[in-house]
Amino acid sequence: MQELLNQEKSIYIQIKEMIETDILRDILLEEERVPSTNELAKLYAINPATAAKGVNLLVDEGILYKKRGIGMFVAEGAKKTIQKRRRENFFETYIQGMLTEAASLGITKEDLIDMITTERGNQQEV
Amino acid sequence: MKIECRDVRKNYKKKEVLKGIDLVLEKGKIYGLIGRNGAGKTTLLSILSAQNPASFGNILLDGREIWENAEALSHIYFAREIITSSNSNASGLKVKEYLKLAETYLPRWDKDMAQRLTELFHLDRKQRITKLSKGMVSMLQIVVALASKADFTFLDEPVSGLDVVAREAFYRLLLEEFTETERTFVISTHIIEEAADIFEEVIFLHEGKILLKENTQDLLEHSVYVSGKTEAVDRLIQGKQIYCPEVLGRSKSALVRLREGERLSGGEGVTLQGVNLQKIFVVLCGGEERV
Amino acid sequence: MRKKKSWFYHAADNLCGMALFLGILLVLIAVRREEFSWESAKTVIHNYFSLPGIVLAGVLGAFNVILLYESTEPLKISFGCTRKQVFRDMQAMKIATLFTAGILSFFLSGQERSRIFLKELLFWGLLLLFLQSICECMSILGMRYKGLMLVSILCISGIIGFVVAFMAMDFIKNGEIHMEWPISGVLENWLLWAAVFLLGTILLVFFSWKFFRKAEVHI
Repeated sequence: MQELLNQEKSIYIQIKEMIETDILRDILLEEERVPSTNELAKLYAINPATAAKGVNLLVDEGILYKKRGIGMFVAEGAKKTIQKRRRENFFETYIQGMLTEAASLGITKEDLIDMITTERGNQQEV
Repeated sequence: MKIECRDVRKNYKKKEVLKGIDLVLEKGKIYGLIGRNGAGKTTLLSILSAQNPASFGNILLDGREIWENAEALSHIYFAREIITSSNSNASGLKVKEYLKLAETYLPRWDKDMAQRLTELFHLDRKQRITKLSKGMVSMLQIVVALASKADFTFLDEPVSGLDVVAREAFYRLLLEEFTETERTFVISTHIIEEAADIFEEVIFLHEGKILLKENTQDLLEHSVYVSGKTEAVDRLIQGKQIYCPEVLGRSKSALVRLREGERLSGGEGVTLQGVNLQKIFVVLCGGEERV
Repeated sequence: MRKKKSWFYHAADNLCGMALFLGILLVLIAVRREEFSWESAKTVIHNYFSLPGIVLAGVLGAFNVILLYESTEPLKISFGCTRKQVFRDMQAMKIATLFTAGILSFFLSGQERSRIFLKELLFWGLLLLFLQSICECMSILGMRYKGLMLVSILCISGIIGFVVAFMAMDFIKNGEIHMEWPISGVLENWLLWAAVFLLGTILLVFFSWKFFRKAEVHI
């Protein structure tokens, strides 16, 4: 939960994704309490309603649940849910843009596969 | 609890400064009031707090008129910019005298908080207000605003004299107070980008009229900067509300304000980017065109 | 509580001012005559201080009216006081000052408590009330027309100066203060004058309120 917020995405989406990432990285474990919207608001200097929007999205998706009077907690199976959803979105988030960019540079799919296999950039001179 | 502003107009010497303002301010929100110099922000805030009378229209707190209504006014405080020139009202006073006046007349005054904040800001209580630096004057304004504990607190340009470190301290103090008390704050400011994150709703005041009043996040989500090959951009923005279209060679760009339910998708030679609040304000107060 | 009785404190200020001035005068007179006895002081007070007392209190009160409207009252409004409260407090201050000063003057006068003296006291009391109301009206208009504020301050300073100078000249010439006001003829029609001042005051207060209730406060 240390990254600063940037201009690229809506703040509440960033809050949502930060919590998800922390869950994926085991910084937040299942059945553990998540910082309250007020704590998040004060930490990132944002309006609590905005923080709440992000948190509520996670509640809607079943990643967090609310214990009345105590706070928000990470739901059981949250990590798996997040991984599944991020896998589903992986193509759109990472691959699509890469394919478009590669096309405009004249990099073929074979080149791409090669890059992935060797984890190195294209050595050939253009 | 809410403040309703119904068709408020204000004229100063034949000039119409406010031209029919309709507004509802709810309890427990932080509003940003943004407008250019001379748009009427200070006037609006002073009328909303019954400091000055409207030429026409009503201001109601929970259905009752606030003008000359001591009970209603006990819930509202307008923290003006304190003017330090020698012929202003506060000028002859020392900081502690000003604070004493606030303590005497503001019914919910929190003396401990005022004390704590005065120390935090290193305000010299014995100093005359005329001798304070611009930053110190802003801080005094903030101290009184926060310690007033009014349900509806209006701050007029509270950060104008503060350096960036002090500004950040202010935003955090404000959020702390807000999360604890759910008081409503309406803050007018020129430094839009910094403050955008703390506003739940923004109100754009332009030439005496409310141009928009929206949830900040919604406004930002519905504003997109479209750029790319002219034909592709034109296809995408067909029928949408656009601002500031620019053409450079084979490329075109424009700001699009999406209406509820409208969506844009990129790809195919068109780039979509988010827009910040400052940019939206600058664009909107510069005119509008339709495709 | 300071808030509820601010007019009380302001009235007290005026009376203290009056006492201070009279005290200084007393000392000056004693020095001039080179008599420093309690008896002589009492004589001076009884003979000369009763009317000047109320006049001083009234004039200081007028000055206070202008000062308050110029500085503190708009600030009170900025802190949420209604104009009604402010205006009411101001009337309370005016009346309290003059009424108390009148009573003090009455007791200061010692043996001279004749009917004529009472008429004079009433006359001066109402004239001063009238004066204070003029100052109030000018101050309130001065909130709108800034130049007026300066004019009224100058006028009232002029009046204070005149009163003080008058007393001083009297004192220097005679070693005592007789207040041979050139108005003794007026006192024969004291009822007329009292009515004029009272009516004038009421009218002024009426107009002052009319302007004040919608006054703009620009701090």
